[in-house]
Amino acid sequence: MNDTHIFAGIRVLIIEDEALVSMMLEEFLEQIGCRTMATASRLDDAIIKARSLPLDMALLDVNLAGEASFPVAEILTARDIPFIFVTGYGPLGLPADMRHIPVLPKPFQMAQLVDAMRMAAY
Amino acid sequence: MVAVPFSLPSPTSRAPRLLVTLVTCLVVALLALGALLAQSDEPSRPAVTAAEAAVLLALATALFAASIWAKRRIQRDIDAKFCRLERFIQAFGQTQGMLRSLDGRIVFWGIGSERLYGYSEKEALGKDSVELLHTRCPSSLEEINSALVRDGEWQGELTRRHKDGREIHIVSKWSLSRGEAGEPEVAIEVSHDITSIKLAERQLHQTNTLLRIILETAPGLIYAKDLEGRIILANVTTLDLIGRPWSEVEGRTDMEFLGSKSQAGAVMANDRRIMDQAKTEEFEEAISHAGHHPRIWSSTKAPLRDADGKVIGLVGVSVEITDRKRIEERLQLMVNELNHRVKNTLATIQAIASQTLRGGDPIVRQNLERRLMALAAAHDVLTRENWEGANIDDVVTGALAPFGEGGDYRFAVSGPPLRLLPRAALALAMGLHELTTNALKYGALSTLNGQVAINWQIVGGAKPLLRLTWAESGGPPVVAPSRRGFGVRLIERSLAQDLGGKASVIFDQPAGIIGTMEAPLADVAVSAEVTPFMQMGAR
Repeated sequence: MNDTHIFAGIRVLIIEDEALVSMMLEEFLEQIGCRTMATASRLDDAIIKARSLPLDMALLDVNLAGEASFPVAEILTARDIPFIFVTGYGPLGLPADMRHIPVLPKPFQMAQLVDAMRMAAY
Repeated sequence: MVAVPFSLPSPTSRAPRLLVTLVTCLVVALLALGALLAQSDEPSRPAVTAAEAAVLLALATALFAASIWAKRRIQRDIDAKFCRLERFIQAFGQTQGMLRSLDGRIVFWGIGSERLYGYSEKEALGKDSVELLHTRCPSSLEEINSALVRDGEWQGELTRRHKDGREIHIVSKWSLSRGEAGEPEVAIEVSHDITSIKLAERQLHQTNTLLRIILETAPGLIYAKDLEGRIILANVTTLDLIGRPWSEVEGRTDMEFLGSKSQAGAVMANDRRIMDQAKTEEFEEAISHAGHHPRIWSSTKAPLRDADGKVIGLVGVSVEITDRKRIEERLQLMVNELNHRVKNTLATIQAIASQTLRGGDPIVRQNLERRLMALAAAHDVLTRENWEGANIDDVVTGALAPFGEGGDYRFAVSGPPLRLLPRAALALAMGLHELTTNALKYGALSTLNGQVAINWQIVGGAKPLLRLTWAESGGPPVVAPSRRGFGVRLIERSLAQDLGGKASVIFDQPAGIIGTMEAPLADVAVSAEVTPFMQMGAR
């Protein structure tokens, strides 16, 4: 975790429907110096923000109030923005063409978040 | 008619006959001589000269010799015929043949009959064949006898009883032998034992009946096809599904019955493959029959072989599992959703704690976080195994994983493979987590060289036990705490309770901490006989 400075100043979008988890993610990001550009808890909102905001990274909850967030994943892929899935499902819950995306299983610790972000970034 | 053993009269001896012939010849010669003497006109002159007498004597001798020669020839003929007849009778006796008078008395009984029915010749001769052999005929004996007299023969199947009481089935041919005046004299009976054929027939019939009942009552589809995929057998359920009578199904292929040609082609190609590989296969297939929604079938298809073992087709059994499949899918979805919820809830609890403890002691926060992670890790193992249990190896490794950064060499893990019940897996994971945390803070893992040996074994006996030990070494001298912390209490109380056994943490001063856990194997391990899902709430 000594190289967390590599994330200093990067712009991150948090898409998570559980407010408390979203807040915790924000706090974790803050600790490693990231800038949370926005948070979204619903699919339509997430799509708009994923399309329009200037971003370096996104944390994407797979299940947004019962809706799968894969459309957001497609937008991010098209924009070439690295992202990770944050999910209570394992990697098996993902469609085949997204299995290569890093998965951060819930619950998670700071170190695991950083690991997943590092995998997405490289 | 008196019953007598049927045998040939023995030939009369040859000597008396020769004597008779010789005397006859001499008498004839003397009479002829007498007659010649009587005819003489001159009594003074002998009527016959010596030469004449000699001629006569020679004539008589020649006559005598010719007669002997003829007699001998006739005798040889008779002897030869007699021998042939003797041989024939012996051979007839070898067959299961017997002779009986028309009123039923046995007059000839050969060794073949003795073998077939068990009675000796002595026991059988003169007896009534119907009574002795408990003969049961297809019609009354009178009828058969009159048919025998009318037609000269009769053939049919009879049931008789062996001397030892067992039933014998025979096919019998009776022929009538008439006396010199043409009167019916004796019935010749030749029989064949067909008991084994009859039994086989009966078994075949039973098997056929059984098969027919199975075909008619089985809830699934049962069918057979030839090498070309033409249907050669289909049960009622299959016909119902196809919606056509047997006459319109026999000899036709799936091309005519399935929803689409491409699907039929695929099914037939698969059938072909099974026949080529000549191996039974079990699989699920989604098939839509013409006029029906697609359904899911669990099918077993096996090569159909002829008596020589050559594959001549395929037999299939298909049971519809559409509903079961749908329920299974729904259940799987629910389980996935529930697992997801559990993980989300743990994340939320973690977030709440994180927010609540913000600005407080970072150690407390970290402790809580790690306990939640340990719980989540144990859940992961169980989720992967569909909550059917977890390998003890995976549970231990999972519990130690968050602490593995310092190098796995610090943990020596050993023990036999064992499937733990979900409850035991969770309890063990939490217990190990507490021991590890403690070791990191105060015990063997707080130094560079400290090590932990984790070992489990099954201790035999009437009620086998699972014994797991955690032994620290190489750490700083151990000092028993004045007050037992949450971790120790969690191990000793919760673990013992959840496992239905004993657990203790010994502060083995100064060597290291020793944790032991002992529980009845039956309470913690997945047994082969019981579905683990059912065991979850058992305690």
